[in-house]
Amino acid sequence: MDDKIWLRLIGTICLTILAVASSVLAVCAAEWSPRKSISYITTTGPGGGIDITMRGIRPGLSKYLGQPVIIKNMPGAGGGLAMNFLFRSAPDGHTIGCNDPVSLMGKEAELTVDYKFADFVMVGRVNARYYGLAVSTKSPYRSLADLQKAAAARPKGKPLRMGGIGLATANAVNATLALPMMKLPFTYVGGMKGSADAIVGCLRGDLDMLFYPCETYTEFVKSGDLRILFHTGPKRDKDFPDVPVVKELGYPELEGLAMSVVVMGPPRLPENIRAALEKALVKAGNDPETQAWSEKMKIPMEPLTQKEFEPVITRAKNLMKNYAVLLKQYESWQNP
Amino acid sequence: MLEAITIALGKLMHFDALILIFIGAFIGLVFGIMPGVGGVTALVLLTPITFGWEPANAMFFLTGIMGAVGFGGAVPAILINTPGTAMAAASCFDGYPMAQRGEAGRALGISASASFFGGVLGLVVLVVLIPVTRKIVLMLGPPDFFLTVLWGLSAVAVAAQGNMVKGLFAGGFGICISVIGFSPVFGVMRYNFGTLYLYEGIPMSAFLLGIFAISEVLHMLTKGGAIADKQIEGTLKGVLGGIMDVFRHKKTFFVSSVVGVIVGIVPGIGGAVANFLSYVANMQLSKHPETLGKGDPEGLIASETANDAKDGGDLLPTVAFGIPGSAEMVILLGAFVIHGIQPGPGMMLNHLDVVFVLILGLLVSKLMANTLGLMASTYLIRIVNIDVKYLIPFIVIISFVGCFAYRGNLWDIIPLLIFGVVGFGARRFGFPRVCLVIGYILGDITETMFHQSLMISYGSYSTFVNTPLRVVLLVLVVLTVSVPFFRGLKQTIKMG
Repeated sequence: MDDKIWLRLIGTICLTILAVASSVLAVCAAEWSPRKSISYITTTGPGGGIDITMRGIRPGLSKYLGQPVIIKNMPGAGGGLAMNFLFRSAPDGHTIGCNDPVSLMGKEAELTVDYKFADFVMVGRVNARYYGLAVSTKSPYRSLADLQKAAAARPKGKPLRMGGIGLATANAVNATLALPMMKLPFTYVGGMKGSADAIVGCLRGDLDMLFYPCETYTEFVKSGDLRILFHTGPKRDKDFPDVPVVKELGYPELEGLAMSVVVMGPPRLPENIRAALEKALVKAGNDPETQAWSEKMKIPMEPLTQKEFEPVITRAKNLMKNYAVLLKQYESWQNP
Repeated sequence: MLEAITIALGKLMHFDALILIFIGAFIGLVFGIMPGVGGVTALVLLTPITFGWEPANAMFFLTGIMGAVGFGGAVPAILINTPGTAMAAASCFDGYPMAQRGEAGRALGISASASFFGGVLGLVVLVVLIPVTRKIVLMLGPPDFFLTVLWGLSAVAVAAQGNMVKGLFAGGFGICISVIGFSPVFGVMRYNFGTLYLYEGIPMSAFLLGIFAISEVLHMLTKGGAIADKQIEGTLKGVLGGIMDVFRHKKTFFVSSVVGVIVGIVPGIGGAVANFLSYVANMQLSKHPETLGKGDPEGLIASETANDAKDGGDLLPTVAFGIPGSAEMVILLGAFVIHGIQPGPGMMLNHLDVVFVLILGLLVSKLMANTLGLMASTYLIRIVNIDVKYLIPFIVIISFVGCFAYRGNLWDIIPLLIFGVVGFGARRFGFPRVCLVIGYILGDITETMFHQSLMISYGSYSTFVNTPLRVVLLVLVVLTVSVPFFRGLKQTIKMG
């Protein structure tokens, strides 16, 4: 065979490979759409915080994905059962779940679980509720500086008291990350039946401070029972215009620390499926009907894409790097 | 306050409102009777249908459900030893033996009237205390609750009389079972053998249905015949006798109402604790504690009264701070938000009429549900004369379904069967089941309240004696634990 034939043959083979490769790429790049209903796994029972948020965005998700989205409540093991289920689900986009990244990372650090936070594929954020530190209005603390002074003046073994459901839960993990940086040693009173129980404990004088998302305090601030000293949001809240944010107080690294509802998929979820889910999530969150629901229920609905949300995750991961050290420090406050 | 009552009464006097309460009460009764699916499930499923309704009508419908669940749960507890809800579990101890004696009608009469009047008293207490609700809620803290629950736990010593070693063993075993799982105080897992299944401990439905229903099935298999050895008495006569029993045992009724209201005030503590705490409180105060657990009407009055008196206590933190006193109240407060009522400390100022809508809704619901239940009891009590070979498959099926429905986990059937065998063994070898269940229900909460108290006081034990109320409670605990010792001493002296 002469050279021309060889060249033609090689050219034909190259073109065939190119054609096949581009058609495969084209198929991969095509927007994914679900073939059947989507199971949405939540870590709480019906009526729980995350469940209510997801029920608010569900109609929009169904609308933009073109398939019914069915919420499956899997409470148990502090969210562990739901996350285990999601971890073992097929990465075909028909099973997704949601959780708060920081509490997920905290649980991973403190308990034995099969999965790791990094295993899950982040789709996007539904909302974020920024943490605020509140005290009783009957206490002498009017600012963070007052509280820091009081903390420094306390005898060893008697740090400030804060409380909640228990260690390894969202508010305990976030407090462990934030408060030592602000020179606020604390002891955590666990076993409370939720934020309401803790608020009554604070009003009774059993607790010195509270660390929950700001919305938790709204009615108690209005009634003059609680005072918020700061919150972790990026800017001052329109409901609490006098309350400074952490950045103003010199703690920019704590900005954005929040109880977030983040939608995530199982490990190895292909990028085109993730992107399609992300697009639907953002559209659903911004849908006028969802926004009207958000306004009525007073539950924020501020969807973000994975890219927009990435800096918050990176900051949380950086904070979590010191978590083991902080836990040791926490123990030293209890037993000086 | 009068204005708020008038507004709420005006809303109740509409035909729509009464019909909605009736429908709610009927649904609540059915959900209460079915084991494993209590008031919380009913409220979660049905709250969404009220979204478009007028707020007062929605509240009447939802309180209709809430008010009826208590009595509903007692019906299967009395007739087939299968508690419909956890808060009816203590009713098995005396209600079922009464049914076995052919007094099912009387037991249902006691249950209906005790729960109705207990509920009324709880709500009256709430209305009276409305001006001082904040003070009361802020006055009682973890040390008070710890000492109250410890007093309940110390009843093991009373319940174990005559068989102290076995009683204490059963109580201790119950406490050990109660601490399985994640400890929120210490942030560690305990006795879970590396499995996430035991993260939240042994599920209450599996434990209670096993100890009562499945163990009874095993007993029926060995015994045969019917539940009641003799033909049942006339229904109407029995029911009326039961209603009168409540008036004959005024002390039991009042003690149980007080216990119910106090437990209701503590956020997140379920009706099961109110039920058992009231039962053991009466056991300690009874002149003849040895008859409790053997079909004594006093025991049934104690558990049924506290069940419903708790509703008044549940509403205290809701009225004072807009915070839920129970799981049902969490759902109800969620419904408030949907209907544009923001729960919070401003509720007493801005929405006192809504509080009275709740109170009236609960009252009317209890009246309707208990009347409806008693009317149905004419037919229901015939169950106790049916041959057990026809009843056993029915009890097994509803126990399995109830156990699964509690949290939708099929694995819960395994502890159900295990505790069925444990309950049967305890009965066979003379270990008092009441001690076992008291240990399980009160063990975990006693531990949590104890550690909370110490953490708040930086480890100072003086926190348990620094108020007069705490000293009184501590003296009660000491006296209760010493009762068997003094009784033994008295007997020794008598015998010379």
